[in-house]
Amino acid sequence: MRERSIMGSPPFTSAMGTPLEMGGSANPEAESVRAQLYRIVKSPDFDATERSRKFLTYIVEEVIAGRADRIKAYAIAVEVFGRDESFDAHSDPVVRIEAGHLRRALNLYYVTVGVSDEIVISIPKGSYVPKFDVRPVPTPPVPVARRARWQRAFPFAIACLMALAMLPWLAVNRGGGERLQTPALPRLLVRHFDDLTNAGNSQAIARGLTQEIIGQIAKFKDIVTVEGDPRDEKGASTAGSSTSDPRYVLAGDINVIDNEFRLRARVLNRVDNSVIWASSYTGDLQPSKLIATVTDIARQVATSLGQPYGVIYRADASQRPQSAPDDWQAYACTLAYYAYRASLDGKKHPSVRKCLEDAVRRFPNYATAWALLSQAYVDEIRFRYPIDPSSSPASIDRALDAARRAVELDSENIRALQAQMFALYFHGEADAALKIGEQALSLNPNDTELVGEYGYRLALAGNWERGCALMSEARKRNPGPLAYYESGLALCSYFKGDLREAAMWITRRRRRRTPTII
Amino acid sequence: MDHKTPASENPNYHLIAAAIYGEAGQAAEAARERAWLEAHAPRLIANTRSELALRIVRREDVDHLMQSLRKAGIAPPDEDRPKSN
Repeated sequence: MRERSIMGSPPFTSAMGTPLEMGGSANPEAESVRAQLYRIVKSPDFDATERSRKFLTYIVEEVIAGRADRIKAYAIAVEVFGRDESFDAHSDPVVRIEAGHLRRALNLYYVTVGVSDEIVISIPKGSYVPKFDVRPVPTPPVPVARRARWQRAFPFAIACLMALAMLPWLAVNRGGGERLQTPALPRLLVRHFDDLTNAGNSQAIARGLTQEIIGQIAKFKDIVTVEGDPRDEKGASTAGSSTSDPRYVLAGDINVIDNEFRLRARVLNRVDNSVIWASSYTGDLQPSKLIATVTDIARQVATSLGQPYGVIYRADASQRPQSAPDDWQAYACTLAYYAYRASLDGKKHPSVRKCLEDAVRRFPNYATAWALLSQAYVDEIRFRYPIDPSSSPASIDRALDAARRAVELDSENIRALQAQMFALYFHGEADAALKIGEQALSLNPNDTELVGEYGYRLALAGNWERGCALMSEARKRNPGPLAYYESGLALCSYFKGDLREAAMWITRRRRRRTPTII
Repeated sequence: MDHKTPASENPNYHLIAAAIYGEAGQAAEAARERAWLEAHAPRLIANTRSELALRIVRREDVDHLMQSLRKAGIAPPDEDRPKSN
């Protein structure tokens, strides 16, 4: 059960790894790495462009050929991107940007469709030289008594737990009541904002903003919000590895200048204390406006961090598992669902659906997974995906059942209500669907995913004016990788009679190559 | 970011685009969308009205779209009366 590194040059060899010499391309290890490479680049679930695939192929083949030392931005730009010899990595970030996409695509691949692949190809930051690790093959679950030893050898533990995740639900079937795990939802520690001015009502503003933000983020049920106790600040700064430790910290400070206050907020990844997001907000100190200003800033912060495709989602989607993989895997299915929805790639749908089905079997109380599964069932009807003969046919009833289950588990979960809205809508119950959508909107008006989807349903049900206004709001507030709603806005313009604007939206979508939802 | 799946793989996109271009009199664009739909989504073309009605609630909105689709050269088998205009 050892994880070892193969073919890694020393700086990229894991602490437990054993670097192996590459003996040319006939080497069996080279062949297995190559096989893994082609498995990835040929997988329709590997969410990367042709260029990224070429990039990956090039760097892996260079290592196999023993030319790892020649893998540099310049060589990649010339060989993969067809740049000429005047290429200058300092003024042209093409390789760095593409490498970022490629790292994310690989991460996502290994937590979803590639979760049981034995060989892991990664590109550690700091260079473009790929690293290859062998993960252990599945073995029966390790008895509890051996866990203490795992903890001493944490990297092994991750690898071993990964192996366990490949055993389909064995532990659950054997264990009966022993399992009380929850999915590895991100935990966000909100620290009390520092008061830099310490005069007048600056302290009250700092405290009020902290509380308001905690309240607003808490409405996003897929993030566990934890209030930082100022007395524990020292303890909290030691990054741990348990699932119950916050993965992220929101910190900030307040400065009062003249008639204004300024909040500088930032989110740190607790593993390496890197800043993953920072923003500042200015507010009016006039007493009549103060409450509204504080609420407004809190909503903006909550939306940026909490919404699907927001700061926390993006950070989680680009990192490797930090915790036991069965609970990470269930959570990662929700990330994979969002990634699929962002591309609306029907080829990804079956693996995402399977992943969510497994997640709810494993964690039957995971409301969000039920909700997204319900939406995946709706999508089969909505987007007319070809039905895999090995699975049961598309049915709106099972979408309704899954959504109902999600709402029963958590009636304030916005994804659950959104799923119920979709299932009812496609069951021909538009009025009931919109009632649920309205209820969800009043529960969390900062959930831009809901704002847009509810707006779209509302418009298609005939309330074009309000529905289109909501879609337009969602498009502005969601900074994520998707410009979901432009086809909706095209329809809005069309039904308003503004054909020029409609053609502008629809043509823009064509250029952006982003999907259409209706 | 450059997604590997172009919008153009989604039939709903082409249907909306065809209606808009048809209504706007952009004949070349409308013809391109029609050709795509005929090649990739013949079943959608054959059942346009019911497919639209699954998503769009008001009959007048569906009628309006059907009319625009006809202008784009997509003449679905008439389960409804052609609207005079």
